[in-house]
This record gives sequence, structure tokens and C-alpha cells, in this order.
Amino acid sequence: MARAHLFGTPVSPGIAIGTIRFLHVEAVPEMRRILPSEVEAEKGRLLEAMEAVREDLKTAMGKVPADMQEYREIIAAQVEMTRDPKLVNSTCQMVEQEHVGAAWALSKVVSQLVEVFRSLDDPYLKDRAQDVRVVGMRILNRLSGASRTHASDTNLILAAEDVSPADIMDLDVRSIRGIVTREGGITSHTAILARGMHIPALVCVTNLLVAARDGDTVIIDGLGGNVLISPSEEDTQDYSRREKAYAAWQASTRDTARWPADTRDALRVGVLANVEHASEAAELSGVGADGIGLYRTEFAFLKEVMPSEEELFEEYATVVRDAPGHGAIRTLDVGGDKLTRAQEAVREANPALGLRGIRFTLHNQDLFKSQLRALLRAAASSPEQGRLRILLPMISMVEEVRAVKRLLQEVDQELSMRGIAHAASVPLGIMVETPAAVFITDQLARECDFFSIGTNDLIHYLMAIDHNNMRVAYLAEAMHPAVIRSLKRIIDTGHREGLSVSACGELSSDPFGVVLMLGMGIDALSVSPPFLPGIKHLIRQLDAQACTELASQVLLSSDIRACKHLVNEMLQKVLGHELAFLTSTVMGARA
Amino acid sequence: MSLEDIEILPRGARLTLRLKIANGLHARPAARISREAQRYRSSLRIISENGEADAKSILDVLSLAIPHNSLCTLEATGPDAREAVAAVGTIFLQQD
Repeated sequence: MARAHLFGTPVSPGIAIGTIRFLHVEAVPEMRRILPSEVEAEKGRLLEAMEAVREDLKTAMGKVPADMQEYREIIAAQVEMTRDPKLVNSTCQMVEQEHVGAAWALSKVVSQLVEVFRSLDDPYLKDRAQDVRVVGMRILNRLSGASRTHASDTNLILAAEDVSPADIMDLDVRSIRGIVTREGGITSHTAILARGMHIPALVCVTNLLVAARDGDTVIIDGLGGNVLISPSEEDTQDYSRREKAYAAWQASTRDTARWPADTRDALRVGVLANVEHASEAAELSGVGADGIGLYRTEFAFLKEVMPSEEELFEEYATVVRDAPGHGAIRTLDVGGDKLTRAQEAVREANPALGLRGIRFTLHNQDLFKSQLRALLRAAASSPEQGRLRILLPMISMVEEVRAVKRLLQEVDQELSMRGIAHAASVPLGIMVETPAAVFITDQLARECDFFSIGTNDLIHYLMAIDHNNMRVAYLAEAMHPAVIRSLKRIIDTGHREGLSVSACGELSSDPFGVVLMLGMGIDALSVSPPFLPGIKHLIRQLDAQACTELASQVLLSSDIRACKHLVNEMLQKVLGHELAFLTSTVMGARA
Repeated sequence: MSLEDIEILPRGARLTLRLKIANGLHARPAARISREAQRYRSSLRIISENGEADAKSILDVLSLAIPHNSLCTLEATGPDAREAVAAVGTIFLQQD
């Protein structure tokens, strides 16, 4: 293909050059007529392909690591689909009756099935449409004789609409240099896997499936958000230079990661980690995390079966034991739409504004109390007090915090009566992420021990935009005066009431966000582990006094562009060429 | 309602029961049901208020979207109908 320059959202930093490999290419097979005498052979080919795919999937299932058992279940269901009588019979029938090729018949049957699943009300079953489609595509690839091993099986850049766990298990992980997808978001499988594998990844890459072909050379720039298809000689030279420079920079920031993040004028800023899996906690001291600013508890609940209190206790105790400092564990933050079928799934037209976060848990008290019991018990598993902190998501009313405190008291009494070791109380904090919470920070501050600003949701709710709606994505503007003023208000009020204030959204790992929030006096920033050494390095180059002055200027301005320019100027001055190594969505693609 | 209530029909067997699987018929039990049903020569249908499905097809079973505690009928026709109904019925009655 011709040289093409595409843009995407970086979800894992780094630069990679390699050969693009499309997973399950969704090529609609040709409609091919066959002779009646060929029907049996065609059916045989189909069954053979299904058998082969079943074996592939079983092999993939065997490779799933122990801590990702929920992925096994997804793959196990896919194995069953490869011999599903409905799929087999309908396809064979079509081949027999209409005398068409198996590939074409299969693609027709699969798309009908996908439609059936998509039309279901149940959100969990809706997602199964994806499984049907993936299985269908695998069989089609088999039928078309696409070989799974290419000559250049090193330096692969995976490309797909979206990446499913089986896809990764299928390949030799060490050969994958980067991932690009057309769909997905910051917390998609793609993002989590790529960060875990320390390879760059971009999601939401527009035109990906049109502009690139299997086997094309491609450069992915997980720093600036660029994808170059069939790059020119100069591009390649330029990016291999950048790749080397980035690797060197990364190594040097990692070397200094264990040192505290003190600004030039000796102000210490805490740098914490955002974590999804308990197993990550042990690796955090290597990237220099001072603690865990946000531990997301959703993962255990997204399985098909609800986790037991014991399982949760084990999980949280591991976090407390392995975290390099304190660990703020956020209580379940899902809406009914995300919890598979654990509860009767609540169907809401607008889940982001519905029964999610604290609203959901307060409505499902059995589930919530089981989580709170596990938390209080885990808090007692460490001799050091206050290592475990509880963080409440989606708070919009003081009453919600009070209700949680009452529940905590109940749970404490229950555990005492049953003679189970637990902490009587733990530090309690709230996520400030709704506009309502911003306006009552003073009242909320008197009910809790710390604030954590959830910048992503805060921006969406302040700007009244749906984060799934690409048409209004341009309004997700972190430098909007409403956002800047809210940040200032939360930090100031928190401090006035004697609370520590941290931030844990994407803005915390964005150099623009770092400069501004540091200027407003934020106590700690919580970022995804791969970004952590770089953010510490950035803080050490900054002057807190200068940041404060800059933040005041930005607070007074109504000109977003001018403000960005000002911040960019400061960043250029202190970081120079190093600025290119930090990912910024505020500034957008900079290449 | 238990496995003892299996009715023997002229050409097969039938059992009406409530689905006890905690979270309803999601992918994992559906996979188990279709795997189990395929071991028998009889054909086996699941009838619920959401419609009918071939128990041997995971896709069919899943698309019924049967919630926890709903009433369903298992109906088998064939030489080993009783055994098929009993085997799949057992899965329906398991808590998880």
C-alpha cells in the first residue's frame, strides 16, 4: 500500500517498527457456485476447518496464565461454538441447497447469528456477538487457506478491530512489538495487555482497516499517537532514531525512578500507581511508585460468577502486602450494564448517568457489605495502620458518604461478633468526579479523610458529553476554564479542611495536567505504572513556584489556545526534546 | 420439582423445572449444557417463555437468555431420552 499517516489514541507508550499482521481479516468471501458433485467435498472442508480452529483454540486456552482465568471461560465458550450444530447444520444446509462455497455460506450464517445476539436486550449476551464473530472469522481464515505463520514472524505489529484475549495467547508474545486497533479505549483489553507487555499500543485508529494490508511495514508511535503505513526511508530512519532515543530515555528515567519526585525548589510530590490486578502491586517499587493511588476492584466482579468474600479478602490483602506504600482501594465502580449477569442486569438508556459507582453499591448492599468486610479484614492483615484506604466512586451527595460510614460500622460490629480479625476503621476518601461533588467539596471534606480527583469522568460530566460518542469527543477539553476552575476549587477546599488531594485520571500522566495541578498544589498524582518513571522525571525538572504562577495565569484566562501555548512553552523550556517522550492528549498529536 | 418428576412420553421424556444456576444461563453453563447434550443420541429441546432452543447448540441455548429461577421444560425424543433429560436437568439444578 501507499504511504499513509493515520492517527490514534495512545494507550501504552513507546515506538515500534514492524510488519503489520491483521487478526481475523474480515474479508467477505466471494460468492462461489459449486457443482452438486462438489457438495460433499465442500462440507468436508468446512468440518475440517472447524476442527482445526477448535484445536487452535484449545491450545490457546492452555496458555492462559493462572491469573487470567476469566479469559479461559471466554475461550471455552468459543471452543463449543466451533462445533455448534446450529452453525454447522445451517451452513451445510446452505451449501447443499444453494450450491454455494462453504466460506460464503458460513459468512452468511455467522452474520445472521451475530444479528440475533446483537438484538438481545441482555448486555452480557450482546457481547457474545463478538465471540460468534471471532469464531466465524477464524474458520473463514482457515477455509481461505491463510497460513498462520509468516516468513517474518518477529517484529509483529498486531492490527485488528479489537483484540480478544485468545488472539494474544495464540501468538508468540515475544514476537509482538506493538498493537493497533480500530476500536477500544483506555481500559480495553488491548490497553491493559499492551501495558502489561510493555509494548506501545494505539486504539481508535481511524481508517486502519482501509489504509493498511497484511504484511505492510508500519511504524507505530505510542507517544505522539501516529501510525505510518509503508513509511518512506526517511520516516524509518527518523523513527528508528526516536525509538533508540526513547529507549535510552526510558532506561535513564527507570534508573532514577526510586528517587523521590522533588521539584527544583524542593517541593515533594507523591507519585502513585493506578492498578487493576493485585499481582501488579509487587512490581511497583521497580517503577518508583510511592503507593497505589487507585486500585480498581472491578476485575473480580466482571467474571460470570460473583467473587466470594474470601476471594476478595485474599485479593485486597495481597495489594496491602505488596504495595510499596499505602493502597487506596476503590469500591466497585460499575453500573448494572457492566456487571455481566451477576445481578439482574439493569437496563438503562444512559448508564453513565445511571445507577453506577456508589449508587449501584448502595442499592446492592449484600454485595457491597461483602466487599467492605473483605476490605476491613485486609486492612488488619498489615501490622502498619492506615496502609489500606477505601475510596468511594461517583459521590454526588453527602448522604452517600454517611450511608457508607453506617455500613462500615455495621460490618465492623458483625465481624467483631464473629471474632474475625479486622480493622475497626480505615481512612475513607472519595472520588471527586461529579459537578455536584465539586460544589459541595467543603461539606464532603468534613465527612472523609482524602480526595481523589477522577479527571476523566469529571471532564465528561462537566462538559455534558458521552464518552462513547465520537461526535462530541472534541469537547473533552481538559483546559476548559470549567475544568481548570473545578480542579482549583477541589484542591483548595480539600487543603483548607486539612485533607490530602490527589488526582488519578489521564490528566495526571499528561505533562500539561502535571504542570497545572502541581501549580495548584496537588499532593499526589496517580498514574499508570509504565508512565510513572517519566512523570517523576518531569516533576524533578519543574519549578513549583513557576508552575503556581502559570496556573494563576491560566485560571484568569478565557483563551484555551493561548493557555495551551503558555504551558507548552514552559514544558519546551524545561524538557526540550524530552517532551516528545511524554504522552499528551491535551496537546494532541505532535508529530 | 426434581429429577424424579421426569415424565416418560411415548417417544421420549419431559421434565419441567426451574433454572437454579445462580446467574442464569450464561456462557459457561451454556457450554456445559451443549457439551452434555451432545453426548446423547436423542434430540433435546429447551422450552422457556423466551422460546425454544436445541440444547446441543450453545448459540441456541445462549440466545434464549433464560434468567435465574425461571420455569423451563426439557423435552427429549430418542432412544436415550430419559438419560439425556436427567443429565441436562442436573446442570439446570446446580447452583453455579
